[in-house]
Amino acid sequence: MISVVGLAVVLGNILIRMKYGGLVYVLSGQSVWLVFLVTIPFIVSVFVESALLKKFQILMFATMGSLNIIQAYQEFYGPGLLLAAWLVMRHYGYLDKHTKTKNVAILLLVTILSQLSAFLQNRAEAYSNDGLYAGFTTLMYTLFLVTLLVILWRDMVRQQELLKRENVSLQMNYRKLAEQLAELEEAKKPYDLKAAKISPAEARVIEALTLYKAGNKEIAERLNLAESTVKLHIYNICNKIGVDNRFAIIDLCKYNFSEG
Amino acid sequence: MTKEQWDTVSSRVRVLLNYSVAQTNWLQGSRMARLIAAVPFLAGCGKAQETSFCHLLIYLASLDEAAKELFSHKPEDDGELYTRLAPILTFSGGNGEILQCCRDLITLCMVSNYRKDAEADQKVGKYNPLNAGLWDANALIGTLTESIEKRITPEIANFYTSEDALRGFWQD
Repeated sequence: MISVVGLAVVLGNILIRMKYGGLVYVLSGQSVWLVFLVTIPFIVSVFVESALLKKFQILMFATMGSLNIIQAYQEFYGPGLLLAAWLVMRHYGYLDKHTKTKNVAILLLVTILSQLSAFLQNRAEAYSNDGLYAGFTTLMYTLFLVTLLVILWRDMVRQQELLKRENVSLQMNYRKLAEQLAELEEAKKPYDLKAAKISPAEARVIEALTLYKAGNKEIAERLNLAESTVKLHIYNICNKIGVDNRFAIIDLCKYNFSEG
Repeated sequence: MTKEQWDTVSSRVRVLLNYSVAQTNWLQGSRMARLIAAVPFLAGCGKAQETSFCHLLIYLASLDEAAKELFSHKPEDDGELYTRLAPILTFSGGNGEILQCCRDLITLCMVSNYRKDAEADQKVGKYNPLNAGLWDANALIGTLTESIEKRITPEIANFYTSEDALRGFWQD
């Protein structure tokens, strides 16, 4: 995207310059070549993935921004290009660590360059007393702009982070639910009583067990059996299924007798 | 306490005590049994299921002829209102306000039960702190009711209220 915009700007600039000043005017146009120079690494990065290229992109913006500030401290080209360098750094994750230090360093760079530029230019024009004042005024405007941009940027980033967190939380919930659903689907399979060689009488005891989750006396009363018979059935069922208590039988066979 | 939690706890107790159909039917309808089993879950106590199981088991055992005498009120229980019920009123962690409310509800039922049975106890010579003149039933009921009304929540009221407790039916 940056490559396309960069090339469009270069082309537009060339066409306008050709119309108003001819080829010489085009060739002498500093801004045309600067934008073109910045665009080149972005064009290359479409085809090549390289950390060096990323650093080169940042360096291009930073160098041009610095030179622009030294050349004309009153203009916003310089700070704008440094801001672009900052955005590219952030985009590539170079500001993830030591963020504050790096931000302060960039601001310090703008400050020093603006002050130096203002001082040198005003001294050259024999207004040496106004040099620092003019530089300071420019710096204040720059700081105001940067602060405004940072506030807007921070709000955007916060919103993005909130959305990211929500997204992560939703994904986790979805995964958990999917797992639970899979577990339920798995667990809903009826136990193969035939394979375990469970007799019809034992199956009736299992059915009563899963339905009433009861003791021997209650099962015996409900099935009209002697308590000792129920006790024996449960003992045999445990051995055949390979468990050691009635609640394990209930867990294994709870979907054998449910409706549907 | 959810239906699943009650089913888990009560079914294990029923198996352990080898309940008959009639006993199971009684247990399913017992509000006091449900309250006792529910307290650890309502208050969010540690090891809620285990505590619920133990307390329900003690409560049901104390109703059985074999253990009734062990849990009956004795003169050494007179000193402190909650002493007799300590085996079912001991918890690990949990919300203090909810625990206090449930303690008071269970204790209110006990005191109301003493008041209801005072005459019959006197006839058969069974020890009753009200007949011994050591406890003032009306004062205790007033204090407990006031304490319950201050703390009761809709979740607790779903299981048991001070009106239920005032009827004094310990096995209800």
